[in-house]
Amino acid sequence: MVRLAHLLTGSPELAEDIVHDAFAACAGRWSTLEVPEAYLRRAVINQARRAARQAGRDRDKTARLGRTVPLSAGLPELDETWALLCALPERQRMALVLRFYEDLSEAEIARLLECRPGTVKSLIHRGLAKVRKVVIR
Amino acid sequence: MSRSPDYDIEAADLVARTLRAVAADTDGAGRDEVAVPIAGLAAPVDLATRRSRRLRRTVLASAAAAAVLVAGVVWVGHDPSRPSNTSAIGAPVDGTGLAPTEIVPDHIPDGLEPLPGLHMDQGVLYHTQAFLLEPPEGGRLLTVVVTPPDGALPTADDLNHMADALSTMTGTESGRGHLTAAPNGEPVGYITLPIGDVGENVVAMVHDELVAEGIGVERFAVDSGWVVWDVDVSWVPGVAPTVGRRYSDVGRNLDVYAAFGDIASARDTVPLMHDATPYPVEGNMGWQTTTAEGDTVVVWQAAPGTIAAVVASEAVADQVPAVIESMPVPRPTPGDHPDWHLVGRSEDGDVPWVVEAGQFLPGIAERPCMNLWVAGQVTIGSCGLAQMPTSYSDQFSSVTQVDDDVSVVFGLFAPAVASVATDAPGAEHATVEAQPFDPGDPMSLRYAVMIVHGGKEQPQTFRFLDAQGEVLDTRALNLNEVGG
Repeated sequence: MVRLAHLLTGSPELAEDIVHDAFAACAGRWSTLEVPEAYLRRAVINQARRAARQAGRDRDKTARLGRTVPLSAGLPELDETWALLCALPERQRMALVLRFYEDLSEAEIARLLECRPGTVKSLIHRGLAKVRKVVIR
Repeated sequence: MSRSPDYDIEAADLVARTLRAVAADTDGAGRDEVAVPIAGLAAPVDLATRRSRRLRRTVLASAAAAAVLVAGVVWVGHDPSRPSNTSAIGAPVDGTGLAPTEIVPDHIPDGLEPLPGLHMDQGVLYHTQAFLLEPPEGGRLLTVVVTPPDGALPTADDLNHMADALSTMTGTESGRGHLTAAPNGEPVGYITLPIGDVGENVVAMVHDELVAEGIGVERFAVDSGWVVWDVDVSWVPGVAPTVGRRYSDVGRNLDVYAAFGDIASARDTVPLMHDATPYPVEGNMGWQTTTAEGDTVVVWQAAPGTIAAVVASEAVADQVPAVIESMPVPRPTPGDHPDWHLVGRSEDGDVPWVVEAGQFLPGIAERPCMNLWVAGQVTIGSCGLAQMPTSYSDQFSSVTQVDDDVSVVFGLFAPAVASVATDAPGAEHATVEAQPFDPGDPMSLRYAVMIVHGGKEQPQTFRFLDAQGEVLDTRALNLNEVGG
């Protein structure tokens, strides 16, 4: 979940907070949940969206989002792609993460992001188009 | 990983490899597996270390009374000890401070459960001053100056909650607002929210101006040639003292709120709420709109002093009418407040309206006051009735639209005006008498209410007549525009 939160927000520090908050939100409900992992994933995504909105409003926090360090893979194209993903609009980044990291279907992503599957398809296409334009060229 | 064949495969592969590389580098690696606690045991978090997201809950009664006046709320008879409305699902919460008792619907869509972590209890009545600014390039900006009672400092959390609430009500994309809490330690907060297509540089510029000048941002906008009008946002659930709860399942959310106050007049709600359409609830005025995320929002005057709101994600939007219908809410009748008395009301079968007058908050200079209620909502309020209008009429306008067809026209008149006549073909009455507020005083101000069906295709003419039927004045109203 920390990995997912990191990918969704672009910030490892926020990721820790988000997962912590998500567990807090789920506290006391475990015994009533049929699929706790799905519930927790949902909570992490909600917290990540909230954190992104807050950061968008709070200029002091904005720097926390999208701050990147070179990846250990040592491939500049991956560093460049990650920097771009961090700079994408929140929903575009989330759609790409949920599709290409969590391997969720567009319908599943639509339920998580509370939008239509067609919107998810559009978000993914626009995100990939920016990767094509900025990184692959 | 299965991918849709119409994706850009090369770009998708690059994204997937990047995400895996970032995940591998994440410090939390190895802790990613979800350790689900055994039933009955606490979740593995230190709840005591988490900051409370609840807003401050208390407000001194004296400050509240003063703030009520500033916010324009008429009914001060809120009784926090009144019995709860229902207990269909758990016990409703008595809101803290000025927040009302929680409203719990009897009908909740299947599978949705209340989320303990998403319970709102905001008991503070903030003083808000808001403007809608309309640049010539298009779009609008909502600017709000927020002042807590008693010189308290607003926090970023306070403003975040308000901005979220205003985003919902204005149907704008949440997250685009700019907030500044307590700059230089001053007890004030600022919110700038873009509505529609407004460039980020414009939002930033306006917000800088708002923080620097406060409500003087109005002057900046006027000097820039923008259209400006002031709006009342103090009633918006989440800005007003509010209690509420989220019912949720994966991907399906239903929020139910009860807020203290009265919905602003249509003059404020119509420009504020994106593409809002009337949504009367059991005869009480309400509005429906859709957020940028596709959520359905319905807000209505559940009772004098209590606003109700339901926000539903797309997956449960079709059940909103059933949810609303199942919400038992007390419905006091206008005019039963000890400081107010009934002046006049509609006849049975007509569009329901009530005119009341009173000495609101003794000691306030601008009194006495009057309210016009239409369909359970205060649509216009005015104080200083002892002062004569400078002409034959004051505030003569279309004050609300009950639905797409029906307009309500209201005016205050000098004592010489005995009746109002119109040739509008859809008028329920071609002539109505102007009624005195005080029948025992021949110099009393008068009022008239006219109901007109349709007639929006062109301006309609209204004539003010004296007791002999002579025309004293003539006005043309565009019924398409509230206030027109």
